Amino acid sequence: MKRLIYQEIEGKSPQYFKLAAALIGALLIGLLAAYYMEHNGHVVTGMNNQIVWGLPHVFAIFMIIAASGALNVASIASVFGKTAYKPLAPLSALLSIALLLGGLSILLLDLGRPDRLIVAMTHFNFKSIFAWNIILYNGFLAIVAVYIWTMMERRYNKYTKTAGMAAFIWRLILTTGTGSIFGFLVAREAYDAAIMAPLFIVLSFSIGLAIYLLVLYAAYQWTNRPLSENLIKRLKNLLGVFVSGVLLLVATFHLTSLYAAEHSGVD
Amino acid sequence: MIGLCHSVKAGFSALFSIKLALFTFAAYTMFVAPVFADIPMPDVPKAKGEQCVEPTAFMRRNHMDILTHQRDETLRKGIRTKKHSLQGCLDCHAVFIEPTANEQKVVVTIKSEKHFCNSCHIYAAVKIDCFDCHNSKPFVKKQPRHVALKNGPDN
Amino acid sequence: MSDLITSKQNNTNDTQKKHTRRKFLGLAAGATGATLIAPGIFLNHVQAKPDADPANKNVRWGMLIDTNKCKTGCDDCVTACAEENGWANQTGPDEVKVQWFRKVDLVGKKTGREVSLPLGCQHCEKPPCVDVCPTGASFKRDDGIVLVDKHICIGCRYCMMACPYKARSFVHSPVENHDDYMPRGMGTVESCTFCVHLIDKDKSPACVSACKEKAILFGDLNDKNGAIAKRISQIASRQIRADLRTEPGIYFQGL
Repeated sequence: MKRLIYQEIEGKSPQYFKLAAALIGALLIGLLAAYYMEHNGHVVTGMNNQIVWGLPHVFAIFMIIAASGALNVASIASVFGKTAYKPLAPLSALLSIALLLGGLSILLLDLGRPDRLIVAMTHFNFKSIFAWNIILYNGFLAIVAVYIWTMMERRYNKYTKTAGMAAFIWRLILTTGTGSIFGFLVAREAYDAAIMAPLFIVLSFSIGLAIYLLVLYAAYQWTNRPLSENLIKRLKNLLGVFVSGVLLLVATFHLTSLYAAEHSGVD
Repeated sequence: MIGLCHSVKAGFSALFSIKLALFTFAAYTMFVAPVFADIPMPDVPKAKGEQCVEPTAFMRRNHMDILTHQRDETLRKGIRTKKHSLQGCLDCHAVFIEPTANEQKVVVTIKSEKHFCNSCHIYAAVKIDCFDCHNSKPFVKKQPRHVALKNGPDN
Repeated sequence: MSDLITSKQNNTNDTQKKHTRRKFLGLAAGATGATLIAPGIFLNHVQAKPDADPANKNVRWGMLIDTNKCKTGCDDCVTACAEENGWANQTGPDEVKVQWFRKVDLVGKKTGREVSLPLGCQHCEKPPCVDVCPTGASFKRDDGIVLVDKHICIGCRYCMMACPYKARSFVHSPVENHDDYMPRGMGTVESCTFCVHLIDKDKSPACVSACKEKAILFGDLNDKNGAIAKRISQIASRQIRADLRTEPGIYFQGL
């Protein structure tokens, strides 16, 4: 069994610093945007009393779903036993944490009273899917952190399979929860459908894998490391399967809407 | 610094010397300096009446718990007792100022640092958000905007 | 502008006067008073709910709105609500203005019949807004009134998404001139409270008092002898979107 060797990126080239500067710049723009919104009102994001959850939520949900899907490749390695993907697994898990933190920070800064975060963490209404999601998101961060630890620390490699399985199951529950935020809304006929949860799961597979592939490509190209053509081809095919899955579920969702007289006004 | 040098010279290890210096500095700041310094204390305005609904020392420690408990009683259960209500506090602890010598006294709102709550909370640097929603002045009897129907709730 | 502050007002002054007027009230209010004071014992007059008593869980407040009496173009009830609860003079763009109560003018698609009605929080028996609130700030009081606990509301607006009646509004801008009786502030969500500060003192909600046509009837739905329960049992009425089975507390006549 080949031994896995992890090599640091040296981190001294001009390109590296340019990349770091660009990322920090993006972060600053995000913070400035939050500041602007706090002082000029939520209306600047396009939100008003008719459109309650606007553009920020679109991006937040996108990133959270991508986060759960980015863990896919790591799951292929640890849970489904395809050892060829093991070298790619830590990046997948780390990307997943980063995307989740990004999505959560959008949501938190978009709250009407973000200063009440402690209240949100201590008062839970367990009938609310949102409350469950708060627990699921934080649990996800913890579990994936442990998962990365088992992968990087050679002594604990024997626990990677268990951690990977736990992360996989947790993320399925998390994605179901996120889909149910919308699926459980009786008031909004466009959303009130049982299919939202599975739809979100398949979406997470496809979006997450897509973002992961982009990051993987960029990381390997820019550090001049070889990447197996075969592996990439297989991942590409997998992505194709996932996208078809999304197409299937979205089509089902809309066709059912159009068909049933009760819902036909919506579509 | 001097103490540090001395202790090093006396043979103590550098790390121990640093710890000793820090400890001495902290002890001085906490216990010795205040005795000689002129510490500003909060200027708490006097309220109406002889005493508060609870003893002063008790109130200083626990007014936040009283208010938190009362808010749940009033909002969630509909128990509107006056003793521990926020409005009850404001009715007695109103602060009046004269903008100029000739004008009538005006009651201050939370925007002023002379407000009763602000007199301690600014000093203690503890931000309160009660008055983001609540009125910070004593109750004024409202002019009835619409007369309630004679026969009460059932028309 | 200076505020001359009088001594602390005694809120029971008003109620004292109303006692004598109400002494000859019929069964309806008397029964309501009876359930408040001593379940099962019949009393001849209504007293304001004593301050120390919690909301009565045997009561379920509701309304019956007669849309036949409701005129297009008249919004006395909306204005009254706005003035009573402090959302009357809002500045800024229209689409972010808070709206607890609004007049809706409908035209029947096939029939062409025009009808006008006031719409706000329906104070449902099974409120979707209460189910979805992550912190539990949206809650239903024991006597059926659905309220927002603004102390723990984090402003996530999930309840606004969940409400079938678009009853809830988000407060976008800081509130100046806080109302004595109805605290409200920026960053939280609010909706019709059935004027809980008034009904706890045995007065009617502002919209009920303001309607010149007496189109809105307010009362205890659980009180079989009360005016509202009697009227609902006699005339045809319906709830809006009853198909969602949230069991709203507001009935409409003439829809």
